[in-house]
Amino acid sequence: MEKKGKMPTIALCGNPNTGKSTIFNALTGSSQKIGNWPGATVEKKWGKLLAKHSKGKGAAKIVDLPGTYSLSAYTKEELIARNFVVEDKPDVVIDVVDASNLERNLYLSVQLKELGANVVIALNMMDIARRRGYEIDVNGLSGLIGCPVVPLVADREEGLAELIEVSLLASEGKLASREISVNYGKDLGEEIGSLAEHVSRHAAPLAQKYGAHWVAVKILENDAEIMAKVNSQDRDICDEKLIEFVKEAEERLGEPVDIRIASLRYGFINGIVKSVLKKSPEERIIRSDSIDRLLINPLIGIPVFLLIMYAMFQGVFLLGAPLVELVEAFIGIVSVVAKGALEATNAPAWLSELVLVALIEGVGNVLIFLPNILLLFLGIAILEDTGYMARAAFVMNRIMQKIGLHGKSFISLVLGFGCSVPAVMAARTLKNEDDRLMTILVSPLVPCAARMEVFVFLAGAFFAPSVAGQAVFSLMLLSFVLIAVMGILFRKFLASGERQPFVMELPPYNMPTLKGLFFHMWGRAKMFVQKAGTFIFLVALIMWFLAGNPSGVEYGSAESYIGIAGRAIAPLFAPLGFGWEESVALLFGFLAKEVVISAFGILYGAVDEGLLTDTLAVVWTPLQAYVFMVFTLVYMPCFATVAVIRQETGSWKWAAFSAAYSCVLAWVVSLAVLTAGTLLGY
Amino acid sequence: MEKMSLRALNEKESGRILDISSGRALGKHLAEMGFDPGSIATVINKGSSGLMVIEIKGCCRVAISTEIAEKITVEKILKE
Repeated sequence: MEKKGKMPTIALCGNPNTGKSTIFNALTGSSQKIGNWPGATVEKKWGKLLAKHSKGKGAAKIVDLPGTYSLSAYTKEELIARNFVVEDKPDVVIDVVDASNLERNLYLSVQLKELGANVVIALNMMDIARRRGYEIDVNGLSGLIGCPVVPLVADREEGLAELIEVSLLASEGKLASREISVNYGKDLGEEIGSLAEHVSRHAAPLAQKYGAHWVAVKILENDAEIMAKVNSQDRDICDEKLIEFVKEAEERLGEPVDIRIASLRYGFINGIVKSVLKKSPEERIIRSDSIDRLLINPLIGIPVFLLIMYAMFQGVFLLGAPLVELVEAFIGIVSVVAKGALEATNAPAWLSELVLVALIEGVGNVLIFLPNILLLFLGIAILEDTGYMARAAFVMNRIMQKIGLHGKSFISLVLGFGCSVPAVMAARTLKNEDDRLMTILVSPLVPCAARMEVFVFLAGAFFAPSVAGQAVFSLMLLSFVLIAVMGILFRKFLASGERQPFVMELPPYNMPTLKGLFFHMWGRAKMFVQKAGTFIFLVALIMWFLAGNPSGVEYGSAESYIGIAGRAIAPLFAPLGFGWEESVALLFGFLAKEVVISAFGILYGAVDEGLLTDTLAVVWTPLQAYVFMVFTLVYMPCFATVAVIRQETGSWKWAAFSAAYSCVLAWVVSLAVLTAGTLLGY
Repeated sequence: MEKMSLRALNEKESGRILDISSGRALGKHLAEMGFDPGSIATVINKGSSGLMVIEIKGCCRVAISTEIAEKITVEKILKE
């Protein structure tokens, strides 16, 4: 066994869509943890190498770096990947390369090598490359790129054992690796040389840490981060001087240096690819293209997209219904057993109330919808893993542009059906700040799974089964209309007209694996289960306490603390026809939208023995219920979403704005629906 | 040789990239995604949604807006 603290760190790096997460899942299994990179909201995943893989050779920590095309710090993801490799110096960097897309993928490999990282190339998707008739000389590639190369089919775990063995050997420094140098040509080479000399003279610590040559290339690539570092080292070199230098170099060379550097790197790669890759003379037409001919054609693509979304929601509710009944029955049994046990043991009244009301009415009612949530996340995982999500953004680009958003905003909107938190975070793929802000402000209007629960719960209580589905669907339509209206208004009043140009890779269609889908679905759905077990239980407990105190007061009555709070804010909601109970439910709903159901469970559930939904049906008219659903749809994003908006925009101002505008909007729209409904005689 | 913008190519036509004249950061990003001068770009799909699908380096598919395609100069490759 190795000593503690000496556990090697292995970083996983690679372009998007290269099967990086499949490899990460296979290496770490369920030991993986998800968090954020310090100072940024980019997802950070890490875990321990599974014991079955390490075979007694000691443990290793695996860090999954964000998927990037290069290390040039164009996006936050690139910057994080680069900083981790440069600053944290992992013992090994596994660079996952798509063998069927060798040339483009090697760009990142070359950059990693230039950085001086201890690289092991995982040449993934060998099966697809073979099917396309590509022959890759693996040893030749390894020799030319100066590091070990392990061929792999990660989906089937082929080659995984060898990858681990090679990586562990590399982490002990037992494998030969060679420095490579891109030929930057005579004139550019001279520029780099003189700048490097300058750097080693004036910013010696930097030159020592990163290598003067690398720093010089980065400066010529206009890398703001590195320029600032040089700047802070030496008072003699300021940004302006560096920029001046790059400008002069450009004049001498006659073209933008950064593009030239990229081009020369590709030249170097081209040389490698030519000697190691044999393509059969007759390249088959890739099947993806023929599918795309249909799916990204605007006339066919949009109806197909709507059909897919419709099928997904139908699937979520139809397949979910019997499962929901199962969970319901299970919770019913738990409730009966708990009641029996509490009575048999003569438990004090407060304990039985706590268990039966806070736990079973509060949390149980939320957990009932777990099957729906799992299925919804499964649907989203299928959309993402098959490669369809990129096509959806493609076909919806025009429409998104019309309503003030960006084609890529659409991915946030689809993710929003699962949860607003990842939806807001997904806006990161937008580089233009205005586009990002627009997307962040409107995506919470998409009904998330938690709000969907509230709708399904209330629609089930107030409408006949045949109408209930339509009621929920009409709420979705309403949310689209509101997104369009707000998008146009925000673009007009908050943002400039300029939008980020659309550049997005269309990954080839891919048959997802069950395992991959499971990890993807569970990674997101886990949060809901954890939330129900911890946060929502806590909130339910607080509400239960507030409903039963001060002592002597009738449980859940207007005189209880919760009643007092409800009555205090009720006037605000009176025009909408909500009583103090609804006001309280909405108030606590800010903490998490599912809590709305818990609140009704606690306030009405304990009143009599019947089903909560039956009790509610007596209290409200269907129109009131519908207005309440409209308000729940639109009003204030939940606590977690507001926090993530604050994080993503870097200011409380936008978080507060998002909360405020949605409350006002909810109020206005609800009143409009109530008025229209009343006039129509409902 | 015919010099034109990538946007002007028709479906299935190819061109060798000569120059990218979009703004700084974007130009570099495009070059790194494979649109570097010297590479061959083929138009795979030219829909009416304001976007084009381009095959770059003979393998990957990248969707770009027509505004960007306009800023990429290519020399058309004539098929024999």
